[in-house]
Amino acid sequence: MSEQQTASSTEEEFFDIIPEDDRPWLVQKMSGMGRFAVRRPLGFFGGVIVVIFLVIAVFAPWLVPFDPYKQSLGDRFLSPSWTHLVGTDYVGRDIASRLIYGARLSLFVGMGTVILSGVAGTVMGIMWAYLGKTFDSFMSMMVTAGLALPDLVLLIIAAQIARQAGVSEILAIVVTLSFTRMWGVTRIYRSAALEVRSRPFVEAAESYGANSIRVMSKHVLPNILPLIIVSSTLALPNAILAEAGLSFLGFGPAGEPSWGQMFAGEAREYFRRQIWMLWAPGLTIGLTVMGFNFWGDAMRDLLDPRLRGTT
Amino acid sequence: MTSYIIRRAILTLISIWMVTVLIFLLLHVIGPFFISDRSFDPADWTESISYFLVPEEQLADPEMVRQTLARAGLDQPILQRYLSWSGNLLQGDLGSSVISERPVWDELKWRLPVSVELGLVALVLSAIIAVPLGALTAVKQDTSVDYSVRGYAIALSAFPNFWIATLVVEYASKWWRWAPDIRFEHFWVDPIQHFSVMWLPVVLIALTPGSVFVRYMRATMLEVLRQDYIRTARSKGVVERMVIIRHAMRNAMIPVVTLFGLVVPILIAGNVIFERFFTLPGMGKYIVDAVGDFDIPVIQSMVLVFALIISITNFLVDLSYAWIDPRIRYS
Repeated sequence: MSEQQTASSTEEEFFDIIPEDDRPWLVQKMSGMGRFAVRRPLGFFGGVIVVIFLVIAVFAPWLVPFDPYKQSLGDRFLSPSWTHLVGTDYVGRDIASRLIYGARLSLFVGMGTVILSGVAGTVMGIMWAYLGKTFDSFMSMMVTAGLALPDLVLLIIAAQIARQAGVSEILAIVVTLSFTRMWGVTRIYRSAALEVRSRPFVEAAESYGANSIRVMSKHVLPNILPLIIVSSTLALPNAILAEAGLSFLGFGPAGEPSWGQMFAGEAREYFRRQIWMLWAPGLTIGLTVMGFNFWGDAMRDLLDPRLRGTT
Repeated sequence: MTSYIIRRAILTLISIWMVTVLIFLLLHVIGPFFISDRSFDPADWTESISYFLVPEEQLADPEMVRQTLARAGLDQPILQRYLSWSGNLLQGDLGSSVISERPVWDELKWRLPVSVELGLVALVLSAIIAVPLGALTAVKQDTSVDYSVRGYAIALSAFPNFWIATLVVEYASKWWRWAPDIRFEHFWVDPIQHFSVMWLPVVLIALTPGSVFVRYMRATMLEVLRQDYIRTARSKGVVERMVIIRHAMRNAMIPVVTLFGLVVPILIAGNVIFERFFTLPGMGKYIVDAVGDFDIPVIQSMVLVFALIISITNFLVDLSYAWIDPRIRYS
C-alpha cells in the first residue's frame, strides 16, 4: 500500500516538474512550428513548398487567372507582367495557369501512385513476413519479376493503349506506376515487418493467444507506420518525375497541361521568343521535388531517428 | 555459395518467365480488351487489334486485314500465340516487326551496342566521379565542400535531366551557335564522329545515377567512419589518408554495390528519353517508335530484352554482394 502511494506521488511530482503550457492553442502550435523552422530549416522550407503545392493543386480551378486551355493567337509570347505572371506560350495560353493545372495532374499522379502502391506494398509486405514458406517463395518470385520491369517503357505502352482506347490516360499512368513501384516498397516493408516481428512485445502478444491477423494489424502495422509515411513522402516526387518524363516524350495525358510536356515537342521551337516556356515548368518541377524530399527527410528524422542518414 | 547461386538463378529464370506472361497479358489481353471496348466487339481480339495495325483505308477489306494479321502471326488463338512466341524465344527468334517486317534480332544487333554503350559509360562515369565525391563529403562533413557537393546532388535529383538537356541545348545554340551533333556513326565506322555524338547524352544520363551515388556513399561512409576499426586504425598511427582510402572507403563501397541494380532502370529510362532527344539509333528509340506504331512483336520482345538486362544485373549484384558479405548467403 505504502509502495503504491510513493509511486503515485512521484508520478504526480514528475508531472509537476513539467510547467503547464497555458498559452493559447494557436500560440503553442506557432511556437512549435517556429522551433521546427529553426532546427530543421530545410525541412521547414520543404514543408512550406509542399503546403503551397497542395493548396495550388487542390484549389486550381479557383486560383487560375486564365483558362489554361484557351488559345489566343493575339496574345502569343507575352512577357511576364501582372496579368500574365510568367507570360504566355506559343499559342497564347497563360503559362502560370498551365503550371497551376499541371500541379493538379502531378498531385493526382503522385498521390494515386503513393496510395495504391503503398497499400499494396503494406499488405503484401506484412503478409510476406508472416505467412509460410510457400507464400514466401511465391512472393520472392513475384518481387524479383516485379523489380525487373522497365518502368518508363511500360508507362509508354500503357499510356498509348489508354490513349487509343479512349480510357483515362491519367488512370493508366497511376495504375502502371503503382504496379512497377509496389515491388520495391513491398520488399522494404517486409524487412521492417520481419524486424518488428522479432521484438519481445510481438512474442508476448502471440503467447497470450493473439491470432496472426491481430498481431499483423495491431502490433506490426503501427510499428512500421512511420517507415510507410516516410517512404511514401519520398516516393511521391519520384512519381511526379516519372509523369514529367512520360509527358516530355509525348506520351502523357493528351491535352492536359503537364509540367513535362510544357517544354517538349512543338514548344521547343519557340524558346527564342518565350524563354519562360522552358524555365517556368523546369523550376516548378525541381522546387516541388526538392520540397517533398526535404520534407520527407525531416519527417524521417522526427518519426524514426534510427533511419537518420539512410539516403 | 553454389547452392545460393543455383537458388538465385532459378529465381531469376522464373521471374523472367513471369515477365513474359505479364507483357503478353498486357499486349494481347488487357490492351485489346480496352480498345475493343469502344468501337469493336470485346470478344473479338483480331478485330480490335487490326484497328491499330491495318491502314485505315484497308480496314474495310477483310482480306487485307486477314493478310496483315497472318503475317504477324496475330490471327491465332491467344494461348497458341503465347506458345509460339515463347517457343521461338527459346530458339533465339525474337519475331519480326509488323511495320517494316525486319526481324527484331537484326535491329537489335545494331541497336544493342549503342544503348549498352550509353548506359555503361554513363554508369562508369558517374561511379568514378560520384563515389569519391560522396566519400569526400562524409570526410569533410558540415564544411562548405560538403554543403556544395550535396547541394549539387540534391538539385540534380530534383531537376529532371531531360529539362537540363533542353536547357543546355537551348543556351548552347543561343550563346555559341552550337548544336549537338546528331550524325550518328557506329564506333567501328568512324570513332571520332561517334564520340562527338555520344559524349553529351552520356554525360546527361550520368547525372541522375551520379546524384544517387553521392548521397548513398556519403551516408554509408559516415556510418563506417564511426566504426571501432577506424578508431583502431587511427590510434595505431595509420596516416589519415590511408585510413580513409584503405579502411573506410573500401568498406563503405560494399553497400554501394547494391545500388547498381537499382540504377539500371534509371539508365534504361535515360536511354529511352535521350535516344529520342538526340535521335540515336538505340533500343530506347526503337521501342518508343514501336509503341507509337503499336508494333506488337517488337514491343513484346523489347520489353523482354529490357527485363532480361535488369534481372541479369540484379542477379549479378546479388551474387557479388553475397560473395562480399557471407551473411547473405546463409539467410
